[in-house]
Amino acid sequence: MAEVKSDEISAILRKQLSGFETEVDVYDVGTVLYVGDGVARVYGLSKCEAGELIEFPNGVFGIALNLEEDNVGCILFGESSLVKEGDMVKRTGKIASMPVGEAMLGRVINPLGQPLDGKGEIHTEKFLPLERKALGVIQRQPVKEPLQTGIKAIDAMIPIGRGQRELIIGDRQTGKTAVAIDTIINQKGKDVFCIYVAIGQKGSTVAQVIRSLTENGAMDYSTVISATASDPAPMQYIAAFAGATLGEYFRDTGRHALVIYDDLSKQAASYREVSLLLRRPPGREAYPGDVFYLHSRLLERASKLSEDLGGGSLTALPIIETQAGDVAAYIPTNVISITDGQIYLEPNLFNAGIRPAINVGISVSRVGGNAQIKAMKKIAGTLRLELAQFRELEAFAKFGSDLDKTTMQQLRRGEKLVEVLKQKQYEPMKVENQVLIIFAATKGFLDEIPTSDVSRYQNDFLQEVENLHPDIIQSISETKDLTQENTDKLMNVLKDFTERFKSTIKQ
Amino acid sequence: MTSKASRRYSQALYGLAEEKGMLDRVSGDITNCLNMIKSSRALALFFHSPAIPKSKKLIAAEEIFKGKISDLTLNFIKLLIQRGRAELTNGIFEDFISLKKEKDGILDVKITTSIDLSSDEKSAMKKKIDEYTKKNGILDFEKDKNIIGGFVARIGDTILDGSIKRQLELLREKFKQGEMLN
Repeated sequence: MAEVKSDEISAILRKQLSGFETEVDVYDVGTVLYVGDGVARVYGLSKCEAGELIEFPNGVFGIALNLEEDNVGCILFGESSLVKEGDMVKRTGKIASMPVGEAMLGRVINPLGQPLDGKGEIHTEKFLPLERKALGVIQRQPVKEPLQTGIKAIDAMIPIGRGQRELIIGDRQTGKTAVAIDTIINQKGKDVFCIYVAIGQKGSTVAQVIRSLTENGAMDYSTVISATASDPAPMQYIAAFAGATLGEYFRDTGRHALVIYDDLSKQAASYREVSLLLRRPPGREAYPGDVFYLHSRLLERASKLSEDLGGGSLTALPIIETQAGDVAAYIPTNVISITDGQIYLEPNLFNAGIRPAINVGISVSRVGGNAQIKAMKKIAGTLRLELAQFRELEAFAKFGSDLDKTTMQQLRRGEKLVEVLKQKQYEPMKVENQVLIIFAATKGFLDEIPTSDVSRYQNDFLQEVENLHPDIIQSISETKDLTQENTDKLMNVLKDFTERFKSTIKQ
Repeated sequence: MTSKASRRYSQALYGLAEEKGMLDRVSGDITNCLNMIKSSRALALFFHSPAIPKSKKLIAAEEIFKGKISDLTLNFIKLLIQRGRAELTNGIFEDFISLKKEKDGILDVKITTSIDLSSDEKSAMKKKIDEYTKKNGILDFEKDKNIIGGFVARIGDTILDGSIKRQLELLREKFKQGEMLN
């Protein structure tokens, strides 16, 4: 590299200086009265707006949350120890916002949009406010396209549509994050931009998530927004809003985005912390009165835009962690009532080896059904019904020995269905394949197969269809439907395959 | 130190004085009293101490102020003592004075410069500030070499910063962003 000559630098600097106009700089100031625990009270700042970005000394920024008679309550996004009592603070005149753009893809950032992955500066052109009003009724349209999670149990029975808000709820260690990560991985090549917001998690967990996303090639279309447990509470609280803002950027430019808030219970806890420090009155479980509004305004930003506005969508998958299965606690009930359905994950299912541990009996999706592809709709109805019957009988059958033939048959069918719905992590399945295997199961072709061989059956069968009858798969993916002709064809293929498969089973 | 309560009291006193047409008299009283309390430590302690019973405070207030200040002001001081708010006296008086200034359209402006200004320059400065604020500014001049050159004017919470120091800071920011290279 040629050495830079000093006169070259001076030439550039001179050029810069010539464009520099001296003007009187006008700004409003206040004085710090109290600082600590991530909040500060500031005297003065008389013209300050709610939600405005405030500049503290040493490069610390804050947001004005409480505007009171003689002081302003701010939350700080940096070390409280860098701010002292009596420090002069400045209004910036800007509402708290973050940079957005395509450059964010593949990056790990903090809620302020600054990179955390050491891959250098992120060059974006646009800034959007963190807190934006959700769209009105006119700008929206009903959810109509599916968002395939690649998880059989979800896509078949709890379908999620683009623009929907579906809650993932369950105790710790039940695979909530796994469901979310699989969903991200499955968006590969589907033009859905994914944003994973980690709120109040362990740094190691976040690192793990980033690694699995990278390994599965999902980082190319994803952004991870991280506010770990060691970040200040204000940072954790706004992380969710940062995720929504970034998602809205993709939505408003006519594309599809998926945001995962992992998890909102911790976000509520950090909001509670901030609120209590700002001396807002506590309510139930010491959460402030507007904790419902906190989540409703966040999740309301998920939407499907009308065609006039480009038809983009923002799907939200909030995650809530329950304590010992208590879904009647404050935050879980709030978020359940806000979202368009919920996916329950249960520890006893998880421990029984049913993974993903989705309790399909109480999991629902309120709008996704409209978004399901026709082929899936046709077969999912039977699946749901048969599983429901199975669950009813299962408890009953534990007592009795003498069961009639139909009951035995129903039990056997249920067992196979449960087995078919099991799925390994990081192995999302294409919806066409899901249709094929669920078709086989609901038509009873698996009834004679031992449970331990079901997964082998599934693999071999899908392999065979792919190799010998690709037209069926193609037809499903093109028409999104299972035509009568194909149904008949598939029945024949299945009959033939099952016979051959049975002979391979070791006695 | 001002508080919410002191603002209420000062507003009440201001309203009543205005109604009775005694605003100038009362505000003179208040300024005098405030100076008295500030100059005499004994008096300040006497007012602020909760150990001294209200009855004694009342008698003392009567003796000290009777005849020197208007009845309205004296009654106000007595009311404060009676209500156990004597420790707020200073704050209330300060609030009252700033309230009076605000109503009179007077603005306290603090001007910082790096050199001493001549009286011509000072009056020119006052004219400019008055033009900007559309109020009657009372300028308080201060010298601070740290700002290098130019001036800094503080009007309430707003700062007009035309100092060389600030210009250099802004220039540094611009260099950092490298925005002039484009």
